[in-house]
Amino acid sequence: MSNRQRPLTTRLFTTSDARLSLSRLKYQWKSGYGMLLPAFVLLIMFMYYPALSAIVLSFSSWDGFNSPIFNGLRNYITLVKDPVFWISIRNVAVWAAVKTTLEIAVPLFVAVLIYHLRSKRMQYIYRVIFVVPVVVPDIVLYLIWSFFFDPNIGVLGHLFSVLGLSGVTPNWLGDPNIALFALMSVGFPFVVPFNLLIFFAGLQAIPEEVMESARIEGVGRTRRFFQIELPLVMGQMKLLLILTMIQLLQNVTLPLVLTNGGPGYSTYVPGLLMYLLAFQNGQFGLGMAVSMVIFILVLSLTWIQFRYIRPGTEYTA
Amino acid sequence: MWKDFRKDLPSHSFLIVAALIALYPFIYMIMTSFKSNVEFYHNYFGISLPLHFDNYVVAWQAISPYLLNSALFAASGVIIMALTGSLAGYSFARLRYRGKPVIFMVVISLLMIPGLLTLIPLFLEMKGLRLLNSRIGMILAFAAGGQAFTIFVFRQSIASLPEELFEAARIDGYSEVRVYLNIVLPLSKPIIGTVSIFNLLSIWNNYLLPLVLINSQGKYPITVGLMAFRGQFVYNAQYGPMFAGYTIASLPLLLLFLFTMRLFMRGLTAGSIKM
Amino acid sequence: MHVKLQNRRLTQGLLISAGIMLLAAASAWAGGSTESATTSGKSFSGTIQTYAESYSPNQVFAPNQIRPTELAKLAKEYSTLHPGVKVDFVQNLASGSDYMTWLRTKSAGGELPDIVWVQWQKADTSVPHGVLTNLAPHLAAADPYVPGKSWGETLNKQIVAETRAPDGATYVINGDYVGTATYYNKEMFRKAGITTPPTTWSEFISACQKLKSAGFTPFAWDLAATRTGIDRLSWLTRLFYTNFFMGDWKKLEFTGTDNVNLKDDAIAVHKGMYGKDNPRWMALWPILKDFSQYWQKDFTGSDSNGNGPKLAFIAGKVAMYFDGSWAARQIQSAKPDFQWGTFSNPYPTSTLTKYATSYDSSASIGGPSSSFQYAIPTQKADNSMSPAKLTATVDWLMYITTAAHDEAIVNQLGEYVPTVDGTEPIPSLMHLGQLISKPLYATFGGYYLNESERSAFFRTFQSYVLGQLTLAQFGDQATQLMNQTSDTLAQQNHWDFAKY
Repeated sequence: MSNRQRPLTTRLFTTSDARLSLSRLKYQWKSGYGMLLPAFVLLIMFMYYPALSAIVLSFSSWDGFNSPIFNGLRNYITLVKDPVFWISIRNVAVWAAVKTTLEIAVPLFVAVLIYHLRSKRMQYIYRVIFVVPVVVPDIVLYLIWSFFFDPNIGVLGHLFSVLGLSGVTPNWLGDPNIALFALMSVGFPFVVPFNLLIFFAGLQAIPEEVMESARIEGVGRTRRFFQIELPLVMGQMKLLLILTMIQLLQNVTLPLVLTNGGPGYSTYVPGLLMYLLAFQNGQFGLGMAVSMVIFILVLSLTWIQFRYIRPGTEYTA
Repeated sequence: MWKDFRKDLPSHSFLIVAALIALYPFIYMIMTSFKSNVEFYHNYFGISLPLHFDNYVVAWQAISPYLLNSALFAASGVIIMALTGSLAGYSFARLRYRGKPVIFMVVISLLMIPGLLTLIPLFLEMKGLRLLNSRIGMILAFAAGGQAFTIFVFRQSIASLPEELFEAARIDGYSEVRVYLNIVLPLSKPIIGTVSIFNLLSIWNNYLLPLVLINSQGKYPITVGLMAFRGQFVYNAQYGPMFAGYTIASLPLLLLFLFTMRLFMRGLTAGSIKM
Repeated sequence: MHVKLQNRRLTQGLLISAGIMLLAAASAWAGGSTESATTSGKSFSGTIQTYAESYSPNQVFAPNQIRPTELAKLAKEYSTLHPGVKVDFVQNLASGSDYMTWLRTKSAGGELPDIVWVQWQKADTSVPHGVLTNLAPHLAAADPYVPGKSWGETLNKQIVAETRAPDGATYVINGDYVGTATYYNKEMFRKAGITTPPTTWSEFISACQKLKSAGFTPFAWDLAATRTGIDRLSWLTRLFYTNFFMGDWKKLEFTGTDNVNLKDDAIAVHKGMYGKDNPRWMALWPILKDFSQYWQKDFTGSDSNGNGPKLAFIAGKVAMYFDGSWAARQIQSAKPDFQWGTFSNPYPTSTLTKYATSYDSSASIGGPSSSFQYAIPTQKADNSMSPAKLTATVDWLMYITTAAHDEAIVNQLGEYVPTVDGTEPIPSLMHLGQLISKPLYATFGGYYLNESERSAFFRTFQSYVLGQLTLAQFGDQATQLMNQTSDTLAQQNHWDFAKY
C-alpha cells in the first residue's frame, strides 16, 4: 500500500512509533499527557471555549451589554436575506482567489530565481533584502499605502501627473469598481517574506543528485521547474496555500483602515461585516453568525485542499 | 564573482527592481519622516534637506508607551508559546499513548478556526474572567492563538530528529523530562528561534485582538496606539511627526532582525516546515 | 523504579504549574479592576474617574495644540474642598479613534469611568439601555455651589429642555455649544470675481460656478465611507430639512418635548413625512447630487481619516469647505499662504426649490453637541459606581458647571462657546454665543436613526451620487431602510406609534 493510500493519521505516525517497544508504553502516557497539559489548558480556555460560545451566540441576539436572548435561526435567516452579506461573500471570493495566486506564485518565482543564482553570497543578500519589509508592522504598511492612494496628496496621483496621465488617474479608493482591486494591490509586488523563505528552504532540500542529473540531461529551465522543482515543493505549497487562504478569508484590518467597506459596499468582506455588526451596530449575535459562516467556509476549503493536493515525496532518479 | 553576476544578469535585473519596489514604502516612510509640512506639500518624491529630527522627538513622546506594551506582550507570549508548544510537540512526536493521533488532529483542526470566530467570544469570556483590559489576559490570548501552529512546527521538527539519540537516552534510563531538557531543547534551537520569531511578528502585528480586549490607552500595543496617534496627528496636520512615529514603530523589529536573521533563516532551511 | 518516580514528579510538577497558571489568570482580575468605593456611611471617599473629551488635561497632544489645564486646576481645588475625594482624568482617546466602540466594550466589562462623554441625541440609542444614569432627579436638587438655586436652574434652561431624551430623562449635561461655518479662500474668491460671500444656497451655487470657470475647485466634501464621512452627511440633511420642514415645525414635535428628538424622527418616518412619498423630503437629493459636481476630484476616496477637506483647503487646493468652530484655530496654526475667512452656511430659499421656506437654517448644524457633554454610567456599566459615589460624582459635575468654571474651561480651549447661564464666549466667537439661548431647530430628516441605518443610508447615497442608482431607486432603498429601522427602534424601546 503506497503512502498515498493510507489515511493521513497513520501516515504521520508510522515510522517512529513502530520502533518503540511495548514495555515502555506504561511509562509514556503520564509524561505524554503531562507534557500536553499546559498547552491544552491554554487552548481549552482561550480557543475551544470561545469557539463553542461563538456557536451558541450565533443563535442569539445580544447588544453587548444586557443579557443575550436566544432567537434560533433568526440571525442566519437575516443574513441570507441581506444583499450586503452576499456582496461581502463575493468580494472575499475574488479577494482570496486573486491574492492567494499572487502571494504564492510571486514568492515561488522569486525563490526559484534566487535559488539558481550562482553566487551563494548573493543568494543570502537577496533573501535578507526581501525579508526586510517584514519589520514594518502591517498596520504601518496600510497607513502608508492609504497615503499613496490619497487623491490630493498621494504619491500615486503625483506619479500619474508626472507621467502626464493626470487625466486618467483612477479614483483608487473612491471608485466602487476598482476600490477592491486597489486594496488588493497593497503589498505590491507581493513578495511575501515568509512564503519566500519557506519555498527557498523547500528548494534547498532538493538533493544535489537530482539537480545534477537534470543538468547532465540538459533539461531546460521551464521543464526543470515544472517537472522537478514544483512537485518537490508541493509540501510547502500546500501549507502556504492553506495558511494564506485562511488569513485572506478573515481579513478585516485592511478594509477597515483604508475604506471602511466603501464606497458603497464594494470593499465589504465578511470579516468587516462581522466587526461592524458587532462594534458599530451593537448586533453581536448577528456578527457571530457571520463569523460562523466564515468558519465553515474556511473549514471546507481547507479540507478540500488537504485531500486533493498531494505532496510529492518520491523523486524520479 | 563578477562573471557570475553577468551570467545571471536577467535574474538580477528582475530581483533588484522587485526589491526596490518592495522596499519603497519603507523608504518613503523614512524620507517623509524628516520633512516639515511645507516640504511635505511641495516635495513628494525626494529627500528634503534639512532633516527635521525634531519630528522624532515629538513622535517618540507620543508612542513610546505603546512600544513598551508591544514588547511586553510579544516577549511574554513568545516565551509561553515556546515552552508549551515544544513540550506538546515533543509529546506528539516521540511519546506514545492512547488517542494520540486523534488529539493531534484536534490540535491541527484549530489551525482552521479563524481568529475572527473567537474574537468576540474571547471578549465575552475575558469579561467574565475579569481579564478584560488586563495585560495578562492579552498575553494569554496571544499565547493561545499561536499554539496550534507552534505545536505543529515543533512536532514536525522533533519528529525529524534521529531516532538513535532517543534510543540511547532511554537505554540510559533518562526520564522523558530529561530527554526533553537535555536532548530535544538543545537540538531544537534553530526551530525554536524560527517559530519564536514568527510568533513574535504575529503578536506584534496583531491589531484586532488588542483593539477588542484592551480599552485603556495606556495599555495599547503599538498597532492600536499607532491608529490613535495617526488620528491625532493627521487631525492637526502633522505629517512629518506621524511618519517619524511609523519609523520608530518599525525600529524594534528591524533591530531584532539584524540580530536574529541567521537564526531565523537556519530554522527555515531545515525544510521541515511543510505538510 | 527510578524512572517511575521521576515521571510522577513530572506529572505533579506539570499539574502544579497548570494550577498556578489558572490561579494567576483568575486572580489577575486585578489587571482589569476598577476602583472600589468605600461604603462607610453616606459620604464617599476615593477617586472619581473622568473622561473629559477635548477638555481633558490627559491626552496625546500634537505640537500645535493648546493644552487644556483648567480641569486639572479645578480637580485640585475640588479635592481641597472635599478631603478624601480625588478626581482623575482618563486618558483621552485620540481624534479619529472609535469612541463608541470603546464605550461599548468598556461598558460590557463594567469598566466605564465615572464620567463619560456622550452625544445627547444618541444617549438613548447608540448606547445600550441601562448604561447611563438618569440625572433628572439631580437636576432638581439644590446646587451647593450656587445658593438658592437648583442645579437645573443654574444651567441653561433652554438647552436642558431641548436635550431631554424621548423618555423624558436627562442623561447628558451640556456645557458648550458648537457652530459650523463655511471657510473660504479670499484670494480665490477675488480672482473668480466674487465680491461678497453668498448667503443663500442659490447664491452659493453661482459662486461655485464662477470659481469653477476661473479654474478652481470650488468645494471639498468628504464622501468616503469613513466614520467622519458618514457623520458629515447629517450636516447637509440638517441644513436643508430644518429649512424645508420649518413650516410644519410644531407638527414634527410629536412627543411634545421642546425639540425634534429621535423618537419624533422615527414617527415622522413611520408616517411617511420622511420618505420617498413626500416630495418635500425627496427634493433634497437632486440638489445634493447637483452640488457634487463642484466637489474635489475623487471625493469618495479621499483621505481615509476624514480630514481631507480641511487639509485640501489648507493646501490651497479648494476654495471652500464646511467645518466647525474648532477649525479656525487649527487653520490658523497651519499658517496657510492665503487669506481666508468664514461665512454662515448658505441656506435654501425659494429660488432654489419650491419646498424651501425662508428660514435661515445655517445654525442648525451645531448646537450643544460638542465636547462638554458629560454623562454618568450606572453601576452595571461602571462597577465602582455606588450610590455614595453617584452623589459625589454629581457634586463634582455641579462644581464644574458653575458659570465661572464652565466659562474658564471652555474659553481656555477657545473652540466652542460656554452655555451655562451667565457665561461669556471669547470675543471671536461672539456671534456663536448669541445662538445658545435661541431654540435649537434641527432635524436630521430620518438620517441617523441609529448607527446601522446611518451607515447603510450613507452608502446608498454614495451609489446615487456616483450614478449607480437612479433617484427613484435611491428613494426606495432609503425609505425602506428608514422604515425598517424605525420599526426596530419602536420595538426595542416599546414605543407605540399608533398614539401619534
